[in-house]
Amino acid sequence: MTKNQTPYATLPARAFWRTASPRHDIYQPATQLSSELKIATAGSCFAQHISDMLRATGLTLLDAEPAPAMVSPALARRYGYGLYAARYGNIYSARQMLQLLQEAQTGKPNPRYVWPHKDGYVDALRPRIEPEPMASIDEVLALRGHHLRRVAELLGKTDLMILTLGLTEVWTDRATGRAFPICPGICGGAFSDDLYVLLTQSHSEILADLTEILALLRQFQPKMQLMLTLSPVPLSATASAAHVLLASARAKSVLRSAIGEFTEQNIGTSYFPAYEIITQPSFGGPYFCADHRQVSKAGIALVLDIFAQAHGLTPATDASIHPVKPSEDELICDEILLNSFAKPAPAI
Amino acid sequence: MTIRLCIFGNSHVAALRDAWLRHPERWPNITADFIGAHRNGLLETQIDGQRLAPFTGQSATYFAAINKCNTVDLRAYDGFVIAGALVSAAVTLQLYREARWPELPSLAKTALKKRLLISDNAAAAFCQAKLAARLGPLFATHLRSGGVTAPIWITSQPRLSAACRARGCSPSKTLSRALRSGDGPALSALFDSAADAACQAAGARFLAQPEQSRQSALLTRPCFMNGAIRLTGLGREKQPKQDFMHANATYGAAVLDQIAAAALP
Repeated sequence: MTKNQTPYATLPARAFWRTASPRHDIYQPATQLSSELKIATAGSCFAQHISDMLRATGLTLLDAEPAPAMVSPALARRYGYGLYAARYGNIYSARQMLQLLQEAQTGKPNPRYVWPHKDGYVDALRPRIEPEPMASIDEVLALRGHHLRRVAELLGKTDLMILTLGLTEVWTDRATGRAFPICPGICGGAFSDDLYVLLTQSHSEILADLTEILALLRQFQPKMQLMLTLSPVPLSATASAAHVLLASARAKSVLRSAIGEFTEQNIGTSYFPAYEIITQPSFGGPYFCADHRQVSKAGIALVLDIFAQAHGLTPATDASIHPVKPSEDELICDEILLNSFAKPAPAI
Repeated sequence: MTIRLCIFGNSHVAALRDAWLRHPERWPNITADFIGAHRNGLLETQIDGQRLAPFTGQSATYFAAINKCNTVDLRAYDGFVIAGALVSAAVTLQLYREARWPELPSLAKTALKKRLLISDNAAAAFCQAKLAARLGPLFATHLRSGGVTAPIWITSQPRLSAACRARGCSPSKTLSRALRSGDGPALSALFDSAADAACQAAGARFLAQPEQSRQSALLTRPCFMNGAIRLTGLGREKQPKQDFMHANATYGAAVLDQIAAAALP
């Protein structure tokens, strides 16, 4: 066999490190986007950037729970409006997304997932959706029931769901397996080893969850496509006993691997490489702020640029990306609360 | 002891001025000057060394035509009132048009297909934020940032006249729906508490609409509204018959009573 007869002989430039152009070759969309396509977003805090990015390209982003018109965009965001296609708050894990879809199918909120907090109550499945707790359990359940109905309506008309995953460590209810967006006791409820247990999702568990998510999405809308992205934002903290850097690498690797296998196996699914764009030096990055965790504005702009270019869309000016212009630390993030538990670093 | 008050306002200050001109003896311990301006005239002013003066042509025209002055010495007063100034219960109706919240008694009977369900906290925060951006609180903030330390009271804009219903020309479907559904008292209470919070945040105190003037929680008794006059410098020019927004001197007197009770030790 000569050199010209190997499988590498006919590969395009993008297959080789030396000749690949990261900006132009990294993302080859499987899905054609147009303003007619109805798109929904969900995911970890980084997904808020994805939502803003989509809005900036003039695509039709669904919003099943829009804030009342009289409310300013900034205030609306504080109350969980306008972040995603519905007010589900941040969805960090595949398990959380799966269980939300299951709950939306039944439409019945469970009082077990109402946590006391300060002098009121919060929805344990989105404890920071509002800045202050609600007055009663009934109020929390009424709001959740309404939310579930809106989520079901949303899914019934969604053509493309864009889901951004971020974590593999998930705090769950020991008895029921229900996954929470944040550890119980941090912004509601009281932590107890008897009640709650940490689940660190494996590749196969994530793959299984993604498979079930796709099946459920298509029960709502048989032709729904699923685009997955991976948040490049490292873990704020880990409960795994590992160093947070190692736990981060583990989470992102396992998620990336499961997403890769899932999208290779399922028609109508795709992956948008925001994670690689932000973290790989080939793109001129990595694009992080001074804390080495939050994604920089330049990184967000690059992600937008690559996405828009690949889809033949025109990115709007920076002003329209963020009607509110939140800075990185103004993203509505639950996980960031874990930072408050960090003890001062020892003197070297 | 006599308290010197400067009573600012938009068109709604006319009711207070009219009451004062008719019955000045009713408030023997108060002296009052009235400074009115339409639209954003009060905000289009600057405060230099505690002297307030218009900086736009429009505002200067209002000051000259309505108040016969071109500057106000803020040091000459023991307290300030801002009358009406868009601090209006219509804000809660604006929210009610699109949303419902658990505090509303009608919620159990409401189909929420088209309307959003929001929390009680959200309803309060949204109304407060909307009111904070209205002329009254904005002008109070303007006065505070200009160095005013004396008390500032913001009086409620009167609710719509109940006469609008009697004449079969209810100005909004939302208001009619609120009145029919029994949500009026809850909406009225939400307005009063949100306005109170918005005024406090602006460094002022809110004076709610006098109880005796209210009807069905969201309306004003016609006897407090009929015969309202316009804010002009020309004397007694009546509001048009179709006006259901402006109150008369009877209402103005009730508000001046409130102000006197709040201002006098």
